[in-house]
This record gives sequence, structure tokens and C-alpha cells, in this order.
Amino acid sequence: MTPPTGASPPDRARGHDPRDRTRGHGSHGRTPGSAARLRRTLVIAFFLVYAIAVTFPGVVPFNRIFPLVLGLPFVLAWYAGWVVLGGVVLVVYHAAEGAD
Amino acid sequence: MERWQVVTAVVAGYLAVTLFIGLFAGRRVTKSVAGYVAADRGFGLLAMYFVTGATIFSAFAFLGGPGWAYARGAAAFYILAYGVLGIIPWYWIGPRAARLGRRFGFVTQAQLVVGRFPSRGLSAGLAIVSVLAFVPYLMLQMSGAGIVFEAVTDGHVSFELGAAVAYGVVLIYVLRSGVAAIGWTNIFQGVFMLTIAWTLGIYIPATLYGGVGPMFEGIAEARPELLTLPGLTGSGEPWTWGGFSSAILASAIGFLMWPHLFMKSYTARSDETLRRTVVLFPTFQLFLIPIFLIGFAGVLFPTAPPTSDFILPHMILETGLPALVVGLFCAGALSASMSTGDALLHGAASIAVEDGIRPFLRIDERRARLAMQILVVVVGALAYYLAVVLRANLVQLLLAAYGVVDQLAPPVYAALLWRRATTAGVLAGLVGGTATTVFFFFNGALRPWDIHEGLLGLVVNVALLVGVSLATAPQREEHSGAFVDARAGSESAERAAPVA
Repeated sequence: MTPPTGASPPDRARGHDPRDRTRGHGSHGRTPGSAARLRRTLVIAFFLVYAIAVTFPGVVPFNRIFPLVLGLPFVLAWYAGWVVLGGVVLVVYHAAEGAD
Repeated sequence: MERWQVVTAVVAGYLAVTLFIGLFAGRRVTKSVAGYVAADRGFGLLAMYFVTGATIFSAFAFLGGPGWAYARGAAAFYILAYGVLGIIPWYWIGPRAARLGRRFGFVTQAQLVVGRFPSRGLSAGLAIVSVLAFVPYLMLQMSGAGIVFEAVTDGHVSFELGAAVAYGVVLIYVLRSGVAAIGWTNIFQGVFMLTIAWTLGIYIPATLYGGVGPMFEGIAEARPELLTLPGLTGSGEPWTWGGFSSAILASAIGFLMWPHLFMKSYTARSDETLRRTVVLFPTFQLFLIPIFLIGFAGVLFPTAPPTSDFILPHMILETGLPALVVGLFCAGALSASMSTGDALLHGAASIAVEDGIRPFLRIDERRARLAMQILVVVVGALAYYLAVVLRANLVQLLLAAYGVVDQLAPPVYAALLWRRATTAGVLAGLVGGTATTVFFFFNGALRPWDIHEGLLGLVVNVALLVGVSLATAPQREEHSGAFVDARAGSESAERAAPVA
């Protein structure tokens, strides 16, 4: 297999310095702080909870029609609520990343 | 003017605006392959938001979505459940893929996978799978366009002519401007789809039943089985929890792996643009709510459509809405169809050339671009011939494709995250996973707990990928490191080249 178009010339590969990798970890060229790592873990944990809450058996306790929420059957509102909550979590996470 | 003429005039106006936008979109991108396939990596947030949303929500949204809610009830909620879960990984892997794209010139998903796991067979295999999945998908979009056109004009514009006109417009703008046209037309089409869906979703229940709440109270009394999970199957039997839950997981995992969506990682102007696209996606996803409301409005409707997918056009025509509204609905449905169809057409041609031809034949940029344009015409004509002239039903092929697309997830994640993965491991996983998926697709009764065949394939895929990788010699560290360390600002990714 030939390298894809635009691959950098091989001399760059030879000039590779393994020490660079230590600086290479994490965003923006520095080691991510423990706060950033914790935030990412929390976000991933949130979306795992999301996955459980919308499938069997997580959704079973919420699988009901009444009370209607904003006119929607309760279980449909449950799904819509997770979409909204997911969006909010992403906005907050993204803002926190930017502020870091 | 007669009613159907007003409708046709509105739709013609919509098509003219779309064509105009599409033709003018390409003026500022270069004539290179990166210009045609990735718009010179220059899409801003507005374009990325609508390209993502409008590409994901196809003609299915306006026809199939209400059809599911109408016939299968709560089973349809799975479509609402997986979208956000499916797009989250893009927040992290999108910028990585984009960075590697800028570094090594990748414009397709397969180039990323093959860049890490060099194999021409893998490249060709991914190209074949993509095209096989795209053609029936594109056919569905074309027949969707034709069906809507014919229905709302009382047959004055035939199925054949409707599909030909809508996709003639798509063909012209994709030929001329490539993905730049897709970006700009999808902004227009996306706004149209969202507006029409929310308007109809609130208007129809309000006119027919006096509001959303009263409508659901009526359904809860007459057909309560439609409002609780896991809903019904296509034939009206109760669906299983295993089928419902695994459909959500399989769709969430495969979501990003659709090659025409994944390759949009390379069109974004910056990593920040990609991340914001993910952050904003849930707002687009919510548009499924009015889509479901439209379908549920059909449940208590006095007359039934010929097939469940026809519930929306059926109600629109039966309730005697003003011709202008009918025309706008038709334009909304065409928007949904065309904004997905254009990405499929463009994706099929780009992938066939970049991953199917260029690894084997050395052709220069100008010829590659020309070959893509020729293939856009060939694929478009083929899909039209199969869908409209032969009226072939390849929905089975498309349904099978959903499970097969899941099998692309392990190679993509391994390429970006796992140093120890090897080409042999990836190939073994793909072949084993795909074979398992296809086997269970055709032998559905053998699936344990009604679990989606794509998930069953993934079990085999991951086991083979890990097992065979560990049993074969590891890749050179500077090669795998260039991919695994490709985070923003990573020095090692800047320096190391993928070594074939």
C-alpha cells in the first residue's frame, strides 16, 4: 500500500524524537490536568447512564402513559428529556473545556 | 389556477432556489480533490450543523418516521433514543480524524483506516461495502421524492418525472460544486425541514384533536398498546425488549460509521467547529418529536392510507389544507430526501475513486476529480434505473447494511486509540464480524433474545481484532503513534509519518 496522498516526507519520520511524545499527550500540547480528565470521565459516565436509561431494563420504571408531560405520554417525554439533558451536559462540558 | 398547479409552483420555486444556491456554492473552492470531496476543509459551524442534521435525517424522517409512530407506536422512540448517544464520540474522534486528514491528506474514512492498517484489499473492501450500502439508500431517497411529488399533484406530475426533476437538480449541483454545494444547499434544506416538521407537528394535532394532550388522551383510550414500550413490530405483534434495546445500541454504534457522515470530519474548518457541531446536534435531534406527533395524529384519523409510510401525505390531502401548505410540505419532504441523497451520491463517487481506484491506479488530481464527476452521473443513473424504472425493492440490502456499518466501528476506534492493533487483526475482525452479521440477518430466528445482528457481529469482530492483533507482530511505534497520539497540538503526530 502506498501512503495516501499528502503523506509527509520520510525524513520527517526519521527526525522523530521519542521525547516529543511526553509533550504530545493531551489537548493543546500539554498534559491534561486532573480536572480535565475528571470532567471527561464524568461526561462519558453520564452518557453510559443515558444508554441504560433509554434501554431495557433502565427505562422500565418510566414506561407509562400518564401523567402526560407537556401533552406527551410520560415515556415519550422521558426520551425527549434525555435528549435535552444530553445537550445541556454537552454545552456545560464544552464551556468548561474552553475556559480551561 | 388549479390546486395542483399551486402546489407544483411552490415546489418548483423551492427547486429553483436550491439549484441556484448549489451552483453558486462552488465558486470559492479549489478544483482539487480536497476541494471537491472536503470543500478545502473550510466549512464553518452553520454549514456543519445543517450538513450533519440534514444528512442524517432523510426522506425517512418525513415518510418512514410518521409511518413508524402510526403503525408501531412507541417502537419508534428508538429513533429518538440513539441519535445523541451516537454522535457523542465525534466530539473526541472527529478532531483527531480531521487532524490526521490535514496531516496526511485523508478525505475519506477508509483512507484513515488504511493509513493506519495498510492493505489495498481493505481499501477496496471498504469501498465496495460503502457503495453497496449507498445505492439502495439513494434509491429510497429517489422513490421518496417521486412518491411525494405524485401524491400532492394528484398524479399530474408522475412518480418518474418527480424523481427525475428532484434528482436532476441534485445531480447538477453535486457535479458542479461537489461537497460545497451540499453544505450550502443543506443549510437551506435543513431550515426548511425543521420549520415544516415543527409547524405540521403542532398544527395537525391541534386542528384534528384540539391539541397534543387531547390527542394522546384519545389514543390512550383507544389504542394504549401504541403508547408504551417496546411497541409493536411491523406486522402488529408486540416487539421484544431485546429487539428494541439492541436496535438503539446497534444504531448508536453505527451512527458515525456511515462513511458519508464520517467523511464530513474532513470538511470542518477547525476542531472547534466539529466540537460545536456535536454540542448543538441535540437541538436538531428534537425534530423527531413533531415527526412522531404527525404519525400519532394518524392513529385516530377516520381513514387509513394505502401503506403506513403514506400517513402524512394522506392526512395532508384528506384534511383539505390550503394548496400553499401542501406545496410547502412537499418541498420539506423533498428537502429531507435531497439533502441526504446528495451526500450519498457524492460520497459513493468520492469513495469509489479515492478508496476503490486510486490505491490501484496512479491518477492525478484532475483526472480523479473528473472520474468522481463521471461516477456521480453513473451512480445517479443506476439508482434511478433500479428505483424508478425497475422499481426494484432493495430495502433488504439497506437493512442488512445497518448491521454491516457497525462492523466499521472497531477498525476506526482501533486506528485512533489502540497502538497494539495490527492490519491482520483488523482484517480478521471485519471479515468475521461482517459474516456473522450477514448470517444472523438472514437467519433472524437464531438470534439470542432478538438481539440486533450488528451487535452479534461486533462481539465476533472485537474478539478477532484483539486476538489476532496480539498474535501478530506489533506495528512500528512511530507509525501507530502518529495515529494514536493525534490529539490536537500533538508533537509526535506532527513529526511521524504513517509508514506503509
